[in-house]
Amino acid sequence: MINKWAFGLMFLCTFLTSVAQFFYKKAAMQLSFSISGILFNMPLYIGAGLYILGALLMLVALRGGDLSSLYPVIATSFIWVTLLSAYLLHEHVSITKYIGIASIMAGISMIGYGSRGNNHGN
Amino acid sequence: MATELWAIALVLVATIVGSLGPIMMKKASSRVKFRKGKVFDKYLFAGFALYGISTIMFIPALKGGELSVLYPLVSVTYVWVSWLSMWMLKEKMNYRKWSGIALVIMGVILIGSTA
Repeated sequence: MINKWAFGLMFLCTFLTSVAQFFYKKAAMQLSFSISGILFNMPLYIGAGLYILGALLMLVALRGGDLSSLYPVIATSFIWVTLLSAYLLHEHVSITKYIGIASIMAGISMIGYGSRGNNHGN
Repeated sequence: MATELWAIALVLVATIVGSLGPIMMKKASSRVKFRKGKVFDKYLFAGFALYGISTIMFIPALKGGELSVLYPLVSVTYVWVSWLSMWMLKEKMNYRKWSGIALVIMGVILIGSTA
C-alpha cells in the first residue's frame, strides 16, 4: 500500500511547512503595509518558498502510496512546531505536550505498520 | 470565553471542506508530469482552493471560541480524509491504520489543548 520513500518525503515536506510557519511569524512581526514593506519582506518570501517546495514534495510523495497512509504524517507538524518553538523561541514544553508528541509518533508508527502489504502504487 | 456551538459547527464544516483538499492533491499527483513541465493541474488548484477556503472559514470561528478547543477539533480531518479515501480513492483501511489515527488525534488534542 505504500513505498518507504514516500513516508520520508512526507516527513521532509511537513518539516519544511513547519519551518515556513516560523518565517511567516517573523514576516508578520516586521510587516508594514506599504509597497516596499511587502516587497522587501524577506521572511515572507522564504516562508512562501518553503511552503511551495513542501507542497511540490507532497505531490511527489503521494505518488508512492495511499493518501490514508501518508496524510496523517502531516500531524508531525505539531511535533516540529513544538520543538522549534522550544529551541528558537525558548517556549516551555510541558509534560502534556511530550505525551502528545509520543502519542502522535505512536500513531504514525501504527499507520505505517498497517500500511505494509502489496504495493499497488496509486 | 466559553466556546460557542456555532464556532464548533463552523470548524467542523471547515474540516469537511478542508479534507477534500488532500483528496484533490492525491488525484493531482498521478496526473502531474514533472519531466514534461506539466505541474499546474486542475486538481492541484482545486486542492489549494479547498484548503484556502477551509482556512478562511476557520478565522471567524476563532471569534466564537478558544483556540485550545477549536484547534484540536481540526484533527477530525484525519478521520474525514481516511473515510473519503476509502470512498473516493478506493483505498483500504484496517484496524491498525484506524488505531494509528486515534493515537494521532489524541496526541493532537493533548498538544492543542495547551495552546
